[in-house]
Amino acid sequence: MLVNAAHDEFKQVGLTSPKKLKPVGQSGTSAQGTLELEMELTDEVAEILELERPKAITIEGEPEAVQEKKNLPDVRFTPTDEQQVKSLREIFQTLERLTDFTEAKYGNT
Amino acid sequence: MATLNDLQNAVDSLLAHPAGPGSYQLVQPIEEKAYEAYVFGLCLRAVRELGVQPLLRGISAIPTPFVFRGAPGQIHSQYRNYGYASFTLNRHEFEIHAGVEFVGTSEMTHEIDVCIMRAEAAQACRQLPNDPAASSVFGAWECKFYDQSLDKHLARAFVGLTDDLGTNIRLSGFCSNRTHTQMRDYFQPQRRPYPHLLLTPLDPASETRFVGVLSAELKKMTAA
Repeated sequence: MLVNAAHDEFKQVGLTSPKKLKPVGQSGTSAQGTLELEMELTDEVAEILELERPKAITIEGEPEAVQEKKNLPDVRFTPTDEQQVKSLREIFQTLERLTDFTEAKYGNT
Repeated sequence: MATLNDLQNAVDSLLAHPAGPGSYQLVQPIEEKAYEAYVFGLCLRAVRELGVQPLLRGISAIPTPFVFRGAPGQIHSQYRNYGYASFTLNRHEFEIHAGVEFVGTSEMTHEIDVCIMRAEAAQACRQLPNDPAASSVFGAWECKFYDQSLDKHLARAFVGLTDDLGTNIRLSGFCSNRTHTQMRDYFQPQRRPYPHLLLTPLDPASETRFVGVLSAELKKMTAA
């Protein structure tokens, strides 16, 4: 569910290249920032930015700080079918009921 | 007698983790990182609700794929093409990051799970390179995905961290899929982090609250 939710949010956001570095201490809005601010979101722009398209998301398997590298692969976020998530939830809810062994209390026992 | 390797092989075959054999130690961190990615996504939603289109970027190239750090790291690290998001609101430029280290007012370094910071400071730190100062942080969120009860010390630690971020910070929140009554009370005083407890896709009301609090503060801060 977390993966699906993250995918939904990322899908609605565009992709672009890294910000160009500018001399340190230079104040004011960058040219690229101004361009973003004034850019009209036409269908063509949305196409370039890959808006409304699923994005590939991964978590690095082996962080930079790890001393002994084992070449562990990244973990990709693979969205799961909503129906499958729903049926899994139903199974767990049933299991929860089946594993509740609390007895009803009658009288002052 | 069974060896440690035998045990590891047995656990590997039982878990069949998608990251491959020997990766079961990664499972817990990956769940936590997935939760950070989820909160990162909610920040994107809050920005979009203000009528602004955030953009996904990478440190060195277009982020395909968008890589989340597996452990806290430096904002200027080019070890991987780590992803972040940027947006401009009322001519104020911001960036959204996950798992980046900051220098607190005490000069101690802190990792912030998800944060929104001023873009100018982020760009300067990528260029120098340097760790960003706490004064550049607009908002900070601690993300805790737990399959058991939350410990009180987590709340105390995050309050200590936000205190060391100084007075420029406008918003902070403690996000978890779990709840804790005493923790909720602990976060009540003014200037303490907002308790986003039971924040999951199962509770759309909690998501709406998170998005509403963030977009309102962004609007207020950039209106000045």
